[in-house]
Amino acid sequence: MKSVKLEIFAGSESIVKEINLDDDKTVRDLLTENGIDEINEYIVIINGVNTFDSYILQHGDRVKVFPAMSGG
Amino acid sequence: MSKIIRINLANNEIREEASPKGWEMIGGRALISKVMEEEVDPTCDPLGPKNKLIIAPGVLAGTTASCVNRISIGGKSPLTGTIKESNAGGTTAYKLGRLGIKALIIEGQPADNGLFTIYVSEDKVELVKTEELKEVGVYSAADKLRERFGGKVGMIIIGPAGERLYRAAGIANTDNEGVPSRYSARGGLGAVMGSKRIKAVVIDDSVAKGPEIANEELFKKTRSAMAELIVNNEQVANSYTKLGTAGLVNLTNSLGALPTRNFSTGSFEGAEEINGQKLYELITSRKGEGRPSHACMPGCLIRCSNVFPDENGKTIVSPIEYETIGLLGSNCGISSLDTIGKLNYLCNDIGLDTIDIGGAIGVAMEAGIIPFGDGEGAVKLLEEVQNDTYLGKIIGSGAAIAGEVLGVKRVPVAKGQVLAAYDPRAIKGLGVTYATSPMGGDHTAGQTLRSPVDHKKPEGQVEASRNAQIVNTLHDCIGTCFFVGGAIKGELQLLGDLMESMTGKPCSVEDMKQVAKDTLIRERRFNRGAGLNEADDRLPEFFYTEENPASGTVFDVPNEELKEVFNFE
Repeated sequence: MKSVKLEIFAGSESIVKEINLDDDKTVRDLLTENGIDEINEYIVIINGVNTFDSYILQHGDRVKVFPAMSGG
Repeated sequence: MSKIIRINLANNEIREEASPKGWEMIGGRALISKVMEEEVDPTCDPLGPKNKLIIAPGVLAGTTASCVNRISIGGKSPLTGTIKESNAGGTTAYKLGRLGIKALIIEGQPADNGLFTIYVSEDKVELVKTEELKEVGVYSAADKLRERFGGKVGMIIIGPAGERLYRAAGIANTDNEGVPSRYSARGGLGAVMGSKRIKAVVIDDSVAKGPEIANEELFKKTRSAMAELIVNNEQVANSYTKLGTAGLVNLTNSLGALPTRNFSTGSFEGAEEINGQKLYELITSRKGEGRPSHACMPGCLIRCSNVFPDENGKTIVSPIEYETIGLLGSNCGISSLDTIGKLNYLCNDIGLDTIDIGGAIGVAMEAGIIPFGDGEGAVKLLEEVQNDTYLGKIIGSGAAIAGEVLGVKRVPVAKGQVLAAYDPRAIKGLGVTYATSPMGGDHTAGQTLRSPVDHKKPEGQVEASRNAQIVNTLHDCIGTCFFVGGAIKGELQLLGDLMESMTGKPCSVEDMKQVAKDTLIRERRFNRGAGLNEADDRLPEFFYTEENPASGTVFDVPNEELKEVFNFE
């Protein structure tokens, strides 16, 4: 059993969850199951590294999901 | 838009010309690069009579589509020694567009030390003496100009910093409420305006006819399609509209890319005190004049700007942006939005670029003038700038000069200009942009944050930067806000359709990219003429040798690859 920490930063609040995974799930699976379909509109950072949708989650991963923004 | 207006300060002559044939698609940054290449000796003194200051709205200016009214101001930069285009929101492009003005070109220099304002309306363009505005701060100058010229005019203004020829002086544009805080901040163009003794340009569009639109039907259809995409874009609502660009703090901090204590690391322990959520919470709980969301340009549906109030609900500054938070905040070890807001206001009033000044204060902190995290000390440093003391002059010159004078080795600049709030070791595509852009260290020249590359690896960064530089330049040429691309989900052909509605000629995304590529090529040619070469397309050495502890990386995109960024030349 794998466990990952998921943080979704959306608007003024963030959602934080500990999630148990049964098998080899990808970032895309994780996000879809948590209500995010348009993955290209988000930037996913896992353990400090920006990561893409086919990445297979590992035990202990810290997954942060941000709406894609680009400047100011 | 058809008119180009030249104002020559050597003889006070004002001339109106028709826009050259074939310039239908040429506006903003593209126009600046053409005028600079054709008319300005690249070896000229940026603060001398041979340089020109060019104010050019984009091709779509004056229309009511969302996100299309950015202003470009350009010339040769006294900070970088390169060609420079500095881009801002506000109402000035909109009003110039409504007057049918494609560019104002300010030339020459007056023989005496007078101070003038250029008044532009449908009926006339005139040079007005405004000696009484000498050394007057930007906010108060705006009030005085409004008293004289009417409440609804748009204004382009410099502060004392520009008049004193400080290398970090910017140029303010008024917003929808007349607040002069939309800055064409970068590259010291305020000093170019000051060298021509122009305090302000006042734009009165009260009886303007509005821009000529060749195909109204296509325009309206495209405007509606864009509006629908933007207002239904959940990411825009959750990020830009709600948190503003400050929403980036968490993201860059998580990547180890948030400049901290003079770029010594990329993660700030005080990030939660200066992030978008904190800004939103303070604005909404303090109420009063505060607004978490605010449009900087007429018709903007993204509304990423804000008004930041103090505890009593009185405005401290509008807006607070991510780059300012990164440079005046974490880069100086300052974790109070109230202090950052105060520093931001002072920069705006004196007429300074918050990025270069944040870099300069960070360098001064590294030199031990004040400690990192000393917010009150930073305010005092800006008061030194305001008072034009010797130390103030050094800070007002920007980080490159401050670093040299103060004996600091770690100076975060490219081509003399402070890097924006992304550490190039943690987002290497931006490192490539900082190093190679004809503009020097500038995130808006080629933002790669959304590029599909691992930001910490060197692979793919040159291509990411190349693509970003082309697309960012495209926006700068047609006058659209760079954020619109994401907001309309990458449907850039809609911008082509808007272009077609204006010019009457079909316009593909490739056509717009070609204008951007041609612009980049002209800019690089100008810079070569000014004496720059491949050796200038580098970052400071410490980025290659000192690891950013937060990202665990150095900048390691090979120099050989950097040569390939402009492979379309």
